[in-house]
Amino acid sequence: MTAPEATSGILAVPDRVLRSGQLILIALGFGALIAMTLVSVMLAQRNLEAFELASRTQTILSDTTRSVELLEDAETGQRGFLLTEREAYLEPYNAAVGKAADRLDLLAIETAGLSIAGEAEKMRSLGKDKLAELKHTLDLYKSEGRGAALNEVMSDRGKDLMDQVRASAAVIRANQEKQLLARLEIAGSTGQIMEIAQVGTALLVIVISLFTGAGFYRNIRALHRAQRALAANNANLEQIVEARTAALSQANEEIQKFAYIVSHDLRAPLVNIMGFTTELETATDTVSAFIRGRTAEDGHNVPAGVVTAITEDVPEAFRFIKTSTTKMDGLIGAILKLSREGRRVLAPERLKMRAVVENIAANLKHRLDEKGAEIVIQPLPDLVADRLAIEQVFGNLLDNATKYLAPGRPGVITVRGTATGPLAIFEVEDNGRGIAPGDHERVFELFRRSGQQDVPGEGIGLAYVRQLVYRLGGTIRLDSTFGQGTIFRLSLPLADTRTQKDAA
Amino acid sequence: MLPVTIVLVEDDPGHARLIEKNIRRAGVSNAITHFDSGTAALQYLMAHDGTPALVLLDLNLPDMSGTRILEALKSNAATKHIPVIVLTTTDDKVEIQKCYDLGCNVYITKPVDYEAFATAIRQLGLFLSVMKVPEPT
Repeated sequence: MTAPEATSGILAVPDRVLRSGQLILIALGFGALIAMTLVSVMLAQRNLEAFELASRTQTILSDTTRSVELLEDAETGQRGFLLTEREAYLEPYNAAVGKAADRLDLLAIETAGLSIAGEAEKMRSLGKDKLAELKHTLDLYKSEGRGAALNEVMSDRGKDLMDQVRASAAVIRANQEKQLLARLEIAGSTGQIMEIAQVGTALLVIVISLFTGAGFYRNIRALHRAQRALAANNANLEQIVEARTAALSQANEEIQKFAYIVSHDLRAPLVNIMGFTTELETATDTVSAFIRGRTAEDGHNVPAGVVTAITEDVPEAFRFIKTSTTKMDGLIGAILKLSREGRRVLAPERLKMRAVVENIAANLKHRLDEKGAEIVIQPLPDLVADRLAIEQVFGNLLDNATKYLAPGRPGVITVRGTATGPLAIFEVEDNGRGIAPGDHERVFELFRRSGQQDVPGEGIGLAYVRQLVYRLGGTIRLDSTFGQGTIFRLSLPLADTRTQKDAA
Repeated sequence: MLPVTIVLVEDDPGHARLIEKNIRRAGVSNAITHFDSGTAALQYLMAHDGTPALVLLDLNLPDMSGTRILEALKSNAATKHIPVIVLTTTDDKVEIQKCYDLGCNVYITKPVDYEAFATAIRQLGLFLSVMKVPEPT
């Protein structure tokens, strides 16, 4: 029988909520965000540096200009005074001298370490020289009079110095202005890069979100589909199980019927074989008596071969025929018994297992006493099951245990049981002769026996037991060490609920 | 009293012969009419002429079940008084009970053990010799 499509219906179940492609996309998204953040931090840092540098440049620029202005103020004061010889004209000079020197020093400090530092230093020394020249002319005015001072001015040394200062300042300004432009450019480009990066990342995140969202949607839909398929399948499965059970029951019924008819019909010819063999035996007895009568006479002419044939060969043949037919009858009887038991309607009832086993043990008492063996019954869980079936199961197991005890050691047969969940587990343990490992499954087969064949038996007991246990909805297996003993383990439902269906 | 005719319905010639042999051995000398099919036996019995008879019936017949013959005989006013002895290989209790329910008078299992078989038939002979077969009404 092939399974309906049900099993192939389960498919498209994503084994993971996310496929590896989606995981990669999500990883990419997070990667982009992290990169973007890093870039932003880096760019902000760069921007800050650029602005700092720009403001420093601004300071340098303004200080350069201011230095020149102060020097010019000082020069204006000197020239005004020398021209007018009035103290009031000297005021700008007095105000600017100190400040100019300070400003030139400040400029030197500000430009320290920059490429323009040399030029600044040069401007400072030129400025200081200019201040010194101004002071010198004023000193000359005081000591040697106006003429000497004007002569000094007209030497053009002061003008040269001032021109050089202006040139130096122009160099510094040009340099700083160029740098300022460059820095502003950097700041501008940084902003642009940041903008691009941000927009790019945002786009990337959106795209990835769309992709993973679509993936999630697909997966969830697949999950829903799988769920629906599973539910449908489960419903289907129940029907399949029902149909199979019905088919199995029918097949089983047919086998039982077949076994019954076969065994029944085999019996009819066997009656003839047995019957006519006996008739033949009776006839042979007549002939045999006649021959014996003849041979008793003196000088008889009966050949020795005839005597042997009628007194030895023929009876021997009869014995074998009879043994075989008896055995065959036993086998047919066993099949009949099994098939009949298979068709019997089970009637579950509450069973006190201890009482059931005690009763079986009592029936075996005579044989146990003969062998010096005992049956130990430990606590057993009670069952709701067919009494006859249970009695026959335990009866056969205990009968076997009694039958196949090991000679030379006192037999102990232990029956114990526990209830686990819906099942009762029983153990029938003996210290008998045990079953060879290769025969553990075989002993449950019909007409199969194991070990030394010194005890009469048909080889149907365990086959019968297993059939009964299966019918009761249980299982049976055995553990055995050859020469040491055997444990039969039975699991039976504590309450047989299948019987109703079974009987139908 | 008319001698009783034994109607033997048995498809297996071996069984028929063994039954006959043992009946004779038991000292019963009544006429034995043998049928090897249910149809022929029924035909004969339904056209029953009133001669006292006794039926030895096997249940496993090729053309019909023996229980059908039993049923037919027992449900017919003309034949329901004919004693029926079921003689078959079945020892199925259900089957046996069914035969008694249908009105079979005696049920004998044909044992494979010939001694037992012969004994059963001989006892049947004894039974036949003391049994008073009712006159047809």
